[in-house]
Amino acid sequence: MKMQKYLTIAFVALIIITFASFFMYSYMYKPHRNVVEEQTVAVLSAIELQNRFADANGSLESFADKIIEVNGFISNVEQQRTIIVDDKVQIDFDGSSEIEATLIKGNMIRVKGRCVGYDDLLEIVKIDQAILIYNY
Amino acid sequence: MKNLKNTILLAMITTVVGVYTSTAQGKYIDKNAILDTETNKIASLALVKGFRFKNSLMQEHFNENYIESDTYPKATFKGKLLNFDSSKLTESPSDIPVDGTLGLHGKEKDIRTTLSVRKVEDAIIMEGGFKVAPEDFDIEIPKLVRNKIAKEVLVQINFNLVGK
Repeated sequence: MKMQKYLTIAFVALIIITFASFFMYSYMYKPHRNVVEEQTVAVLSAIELQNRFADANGSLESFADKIIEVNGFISNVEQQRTIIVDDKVQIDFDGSSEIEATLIKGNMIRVKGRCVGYDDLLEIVKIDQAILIYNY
Repeated sequence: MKNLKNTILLAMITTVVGVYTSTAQGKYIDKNAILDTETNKIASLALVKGFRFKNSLMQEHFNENYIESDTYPKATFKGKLLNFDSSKLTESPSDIPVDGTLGLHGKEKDIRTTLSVRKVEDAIIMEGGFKVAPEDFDIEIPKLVRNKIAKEVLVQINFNLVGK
């Protein structure tokens, strides 16, 4: 009889520990935000976006850390999956997408990505984790 | 969790990627920095939100608890190269002392370091690094995690400045 009681306690404890460690694990190793699945907050042109930040002298960070879509013409293609759109917005593409060869200066593109903020030294808005929506 | 040490270190590293084409003399630009060879002043800016961590919880804590990137989105370095003459640069690196300030988390710290500078074709390449501590910028780290976070953070400088 006593034995059975101990077994029940041990069993309940085991279940609690399993759940607790599962929650701990999912809290500590939760996945990064997924730009593909997240809803776009705003769609605007590169020039518009840069004006929004530049006018407020960088204090209006309304798009910082938000997912936005930007369109414009590629004005410069840099190394390491980075392009400049209309000399106003710098876009870093996600490491996993194979798109480098298709990005040609002068192309009209639209990307979705996370707005990092405004670089007031170079006077550009930065976007990272970008994915291509169209490019031609 | 031991990774945190390395990740924070990595996160503070500024990366190389200068790609502006060269035309006029005077200003040299990297992805993150500008050098004016007439006044020998250098300025660099990094957006803290752009630092990526392997572990998303670390990234969240870094942004929300320690560096407070909503309030202080930028990390800056402004400085002056001492005894520097860009016309005398060669392909073999020369050590140039730099005096400047590192701005982070609303605080500034004077930095004095030496950079190795060389010229490759039209680009000026600068490399170096210095150490700072979280306390220098009033970043408080709770006792509980103190051992898991680097006491000293190595800031690596790696600029590839192309004339503009």
